[in-house]
Amino acid sequence: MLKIENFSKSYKGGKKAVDDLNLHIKAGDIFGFIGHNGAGKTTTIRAIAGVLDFEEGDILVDGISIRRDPVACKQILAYIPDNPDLYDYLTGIKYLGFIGDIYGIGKEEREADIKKYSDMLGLTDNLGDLISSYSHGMKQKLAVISALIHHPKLLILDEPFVGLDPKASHTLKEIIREMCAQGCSVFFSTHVLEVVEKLCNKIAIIKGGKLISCGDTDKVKGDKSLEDVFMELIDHE
Amino acid sequence: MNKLWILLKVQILGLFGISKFLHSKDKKERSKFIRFFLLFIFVFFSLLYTIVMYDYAIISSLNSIGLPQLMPALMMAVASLITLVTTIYKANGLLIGFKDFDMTMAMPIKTSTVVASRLLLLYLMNAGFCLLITLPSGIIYSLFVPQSPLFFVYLTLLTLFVPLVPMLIGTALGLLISAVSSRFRHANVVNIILALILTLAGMSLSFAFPTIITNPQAFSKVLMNSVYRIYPLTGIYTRALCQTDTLSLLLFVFISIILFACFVFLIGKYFKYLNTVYTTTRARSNYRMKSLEVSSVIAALYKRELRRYFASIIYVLNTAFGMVMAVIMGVALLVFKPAQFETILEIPGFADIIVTLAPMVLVTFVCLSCTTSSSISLDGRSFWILKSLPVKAETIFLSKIMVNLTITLPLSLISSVLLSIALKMNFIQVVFMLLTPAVFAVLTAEVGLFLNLMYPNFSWTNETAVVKQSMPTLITTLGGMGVSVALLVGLTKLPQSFQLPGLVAITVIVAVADLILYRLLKTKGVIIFRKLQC
Repeated sequence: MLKIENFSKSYKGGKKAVDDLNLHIKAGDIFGFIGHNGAGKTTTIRAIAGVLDFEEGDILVDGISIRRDPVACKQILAYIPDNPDLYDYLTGIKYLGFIGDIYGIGKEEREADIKKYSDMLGLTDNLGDLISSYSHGMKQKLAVISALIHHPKLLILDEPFVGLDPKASHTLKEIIREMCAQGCSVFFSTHVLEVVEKLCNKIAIIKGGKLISCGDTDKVKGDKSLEDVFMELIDHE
Repeated sequence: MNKLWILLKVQILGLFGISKFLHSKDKKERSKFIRFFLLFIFVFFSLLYTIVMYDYAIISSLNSIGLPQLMPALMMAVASLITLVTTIYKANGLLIGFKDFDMTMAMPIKTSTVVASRLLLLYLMNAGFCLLITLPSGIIYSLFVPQSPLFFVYLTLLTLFVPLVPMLIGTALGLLISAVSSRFRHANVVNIILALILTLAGMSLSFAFPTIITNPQAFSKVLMNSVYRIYPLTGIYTRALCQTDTLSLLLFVFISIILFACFVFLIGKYFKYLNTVYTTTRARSNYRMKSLEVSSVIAALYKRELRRYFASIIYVLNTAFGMVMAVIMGVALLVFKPAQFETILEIPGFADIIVTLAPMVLVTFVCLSCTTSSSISLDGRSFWILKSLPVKAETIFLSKIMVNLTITLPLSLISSVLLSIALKMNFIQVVFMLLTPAVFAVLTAEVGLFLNLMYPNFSWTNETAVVKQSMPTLITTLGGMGVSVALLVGLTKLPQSFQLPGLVAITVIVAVADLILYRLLKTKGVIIFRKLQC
């Protein structure tokens, strides 16, 4: 579903934020992407989502290169950034309508899915309000709904659980599991290692822009806790 | 005092990308600033030249009727009026509803210090402009009425205090407009209309100045008597300057400072309340799912862009004002008839000249109405949404251009029709009355968009920074005006029989430029868009 091949990204001044990254995420995978602050997680995620331009390597979504055909890739993926700055001047429902129009979602399907997911996340009552009146968590919920209504094959999330209340957080985990059971893939970054341990079947650990560990969650952590493995790798690599 | 300076310094560093220039190691960022600075210098000298020319014409007229002493008061009134009008819609964003409100108010700083720092920033912006108006006019006045060196000391001192009171009045009016409009459901629309009415009222006063030049005897004294009555500080200013009266100087400074201090105290008391009212949006939280509309991709992008446009008062006022003026010009010509203008303005042959040149006059207003020069930047931190959507960059460009044309084309059409009727144009003249402004409207939108792609700013905390003070906006507005005025003057220099062919040639050239620039947006513009980061 997602292939990252020799991906590198340098910022101004020549420092490499990500260095020769290779990852393969299959259909049905829930892939956790972990690393300390500034390790290159957000850079990688933004490049996958087609938000960040890059020159080295390639990223393939369902076999399509994000560099060569970004529109086709974006049509089948959904991206939620770590801080969802949405359009403050629209109401929640207008924003979802906008997303529905852009992805060409039919009227009935759109209405049903908006109702389904906003009920699940407890946001239906607030959909008529301006986004500027939303809390961080409510914006996060709206971003999640907007990502789900067009049924993406690949869901890319940057720190998705930050700001969500416990119920919404639980609901999102359920949704992720359900999506992956249906053959979709989810790739997300987080600092909450317990979530990765419980939710992900695969993990990748990145440090200084380089991949230092990757594979099935059980194999990577072995008998230890993910926190111990992570600390060991970060300290010794 | 120290904290006031620290707050003020941070705000100044945020202006015009000064901080980026000082601290960025990126050569591109630094060269961007240098280009902006050079443009700023160019604008400064162009304005200075225009002001000096105006000053010279006014003082010559006043001198011819033996009233040169009206000059300093007149220019002080002009500076005050401009300060007042431009401050009305700066209050939003600078004093209330600014993005770093939470961060600033969480600091261990007195609220009055925060208010003072923001008002001082506003003062600095206005003081520069006031200096540009009153200092040259004072110098030119001294050429006609010789003055002692003390006059120049008083002139400089007084000029520093000229913007204070009008700025406070403008801010108070701006806050009042926000307070009144917040009671309406469509608060922004009411806010825009109220600010537009006030700005137009202010602008209508400035229309008296050409009359002072052409017919000083009738208007100068009447006008100045009204000014003294409406704004008594003008009288104190005149006494202080023309008679180098120290007591009047001290009185002027004292009144300005006291009013400033009272205003800071008063706003400081209600600062949190005002900001809370302004930033608290009504949340009904009672939405029930209903039938939803479905639109095409381009319609969805266009509607979103249009909502963005009308969500910003300063954006609307800054870009729609020219077109509103164009319609008013059409109505004025229809009501008063060109022949009457000829008599009032004492410009022989005005009616004949305006018939051929009307399309280019309208073009000048069209060039002032560029929404695209800040439409990329205004997406700010939510720019990631556009970048992540499965939509081609050129479709996004088209939606932004369409919004600009929505503002310019209908109002240009109305103005064209009014002018065509008022000036009794023939068929060919009507065609170009409609066509020439239209091709310029497309060009303005395309140039603005391309420049914004080249010089975006997503890290603004105040919309004014991109809507009024950014390089793309300055280039499109001033460049557009410069080009249109140059073409207008060029046409007037041609023999009358060559003016229409000249207009046709300009229209054809601009239409070709529209196509070339559209092609450029679809190629180079798309590449730049892909590299943009918020």
